[in-house]
Amino acid sequence: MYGKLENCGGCNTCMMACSFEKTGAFNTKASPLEIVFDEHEKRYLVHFIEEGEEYGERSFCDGCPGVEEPMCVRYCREWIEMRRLVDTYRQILKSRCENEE
Amino acid sequence: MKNRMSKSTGSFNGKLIRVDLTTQRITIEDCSDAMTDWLGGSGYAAKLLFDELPAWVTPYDPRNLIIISAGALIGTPAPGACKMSISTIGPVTGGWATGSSDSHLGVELKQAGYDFIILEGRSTRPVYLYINNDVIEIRSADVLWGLDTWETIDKLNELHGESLHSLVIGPAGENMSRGACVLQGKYRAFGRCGTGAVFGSKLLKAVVCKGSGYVHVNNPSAFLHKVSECRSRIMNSDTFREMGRLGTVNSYRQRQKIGAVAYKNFQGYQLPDDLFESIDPEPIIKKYQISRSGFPGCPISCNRIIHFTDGEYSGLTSMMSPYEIVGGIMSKLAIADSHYQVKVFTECNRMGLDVDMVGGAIAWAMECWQRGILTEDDTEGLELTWGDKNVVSKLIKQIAYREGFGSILTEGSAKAAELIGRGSDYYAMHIKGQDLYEMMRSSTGLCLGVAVSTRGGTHTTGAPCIEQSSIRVSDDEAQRIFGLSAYQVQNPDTYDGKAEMIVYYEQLTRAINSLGICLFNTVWLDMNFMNLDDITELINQGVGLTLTTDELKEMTMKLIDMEKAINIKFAGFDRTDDMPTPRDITEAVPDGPRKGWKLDMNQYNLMLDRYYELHGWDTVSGLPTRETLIRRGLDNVLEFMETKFKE
Repeated sequence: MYGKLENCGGCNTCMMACSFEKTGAFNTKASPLEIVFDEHEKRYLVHFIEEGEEYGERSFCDGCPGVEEPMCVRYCREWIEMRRLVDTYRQILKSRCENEE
Repeated sequence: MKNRMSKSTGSFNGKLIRVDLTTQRITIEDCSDAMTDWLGGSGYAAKLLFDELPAWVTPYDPRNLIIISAGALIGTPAPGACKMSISTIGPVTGGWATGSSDSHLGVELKQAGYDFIILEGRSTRPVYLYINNDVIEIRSADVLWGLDTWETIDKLNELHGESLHSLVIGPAGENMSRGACVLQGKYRAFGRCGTGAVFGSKLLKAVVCKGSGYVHVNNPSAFLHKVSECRSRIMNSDTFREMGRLGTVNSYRQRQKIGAVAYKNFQGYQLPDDLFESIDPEPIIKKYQISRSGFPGCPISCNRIIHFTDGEYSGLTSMMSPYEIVGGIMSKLAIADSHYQVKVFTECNRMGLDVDMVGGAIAWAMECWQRGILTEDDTEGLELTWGDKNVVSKLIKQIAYREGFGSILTEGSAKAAELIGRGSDYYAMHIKGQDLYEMMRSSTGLCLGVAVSTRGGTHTTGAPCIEQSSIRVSDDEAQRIFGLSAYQVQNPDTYDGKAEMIVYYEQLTRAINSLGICLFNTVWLDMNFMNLDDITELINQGVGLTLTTDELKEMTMKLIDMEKAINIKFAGFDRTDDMPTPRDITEAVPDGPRKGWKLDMNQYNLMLDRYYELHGWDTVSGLPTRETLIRRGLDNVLEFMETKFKE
């Protein structure tokens, strides 16, 4: 899933934080979410890597179930918007789960 | 290549890459002592430059070293941990040269497992350095040589089939302009000091790096707790909101109000109203900003991308100019076209030119033209009229390519004035050869901090900005941080307490430059931001040291001693080089609310004495004393100095 994060500057701190949440160390290339620059729209997008999209060190984003506020949210300067995106992504994962059941 | 380092210490890898461009030999070396003894980063770079280079080495000699460092906290989310530095013996002052830049490449280098890249020797063909984890190669840059920085980055990405983080030079570096800088990506520069020219002298066009390893911290939960606490303090401030809204140009109105905007090469300290409005950067941001631009760890994110959709530069996408363009080029050259600030920033970036040197050299030339010192015979027909942006753009190109009158200006105002003579040196506004955009008569602390800067006139190595800020410092804050009163800290006219404040900021800047933290996240900008106690805790929890704040301060004093030693060894600087410019000594503030205020040189000298005493330096020569060098364990510096001054 790609989400627009108004005012994202591509600092990648969310990726560092996310990688720590998953691995206990910092590695922007091991984060299940990535910040990409949309050349057409000239703005940054958040890419939540879904199951089947994994590459390199990146696993898929499971939405951090059971975590009240994931580290990608806590370490984003636009955390309110990031929270909204994460909630949306979590909702999508939940719907999929329900459909599969 | 053999890796002799087996164990890392927290977020410091303890490994450096050494590249001999003459022999094409690449080695990996253990540098685990770099952190514990020198704080890593630019601190360790100073030690290496002093220890490894004989005194006869000049900036463009193949023996000179380029030391690229990613500080110990880079690769972690510590606030503002995104500043890499490049250190060398520089062509602007002939001595200690270091510049830092926001950087994504620093994270890549840390993730590749290294803290430093040392480049020595000189290639026989243009080359670039390619690092992909443990694959390190010197590659041909034949197809890159001659390209400007943006073209170079695009070409590198094309060659590699992916978007890479890179450090590059442009035509200015290739032609060894003394104002050449190294760019990180298309918009951020390792400014001042001419580091790009040293790249050019070695025929080194670029460094690219990819890293996919992990950066560990020593005590993750304590480290992240401290990071969160600092982020929270930063993000809950008015300063954060203002920096987020406008970036560094947010100070433009405040500076005009207090009389701290340079006009026509410092002939004025306040802009005429119409020019002030014509330059105002705020409308540009409001109308043309398309996105923010930030760097790893930094909550402030003070940069923004501009895309012009109309006007003379319609179609141009670039980064919004920082305050240095507004105060160092636009106001100083009296250019009444706000759009041009983005254009001229872009031109400097594409050429790989430091904006302060460009503004300083051209302002000197325009004032010399105004006074009849320079004529068309000198400028090959160019009329150097204040405010003529077409002439400025033409000169930028000439400076980068060493063409026409630009071949004089490319040396910077100090050396250009030496070449021209005719009394023009009075109008060359520089410290130790480094062109100024800092306004030395605007406040006493700034004046001292800029004058004593070891890399030559600059506001980021100890000079404060708090004297000119709209933020009011309380007595409690001033006492807690500096051991001073609010009056001593913020009054621009008093000389009392300023030496103490400068030394605190010197300690702060050496600590953060070594660790890789941006100044804007510290008490340099806002008293609630990170101070040396915070930095100490981040080092301890991140790297695994057990420092007290006082021990950290003492380490930074050793680093400053080493910078001073480099200047003694390679440039011969002493107390006479720590003085304000002749104009700043001679002339009063010309206009604005402080009109008529003049530097009192007796008071200045007393302030300088106090500053030297705090460092343990001799007040007559300005050099470290024997006792100080012994106390700080700098026996090799002492040995060098005793030999040098015996001769």
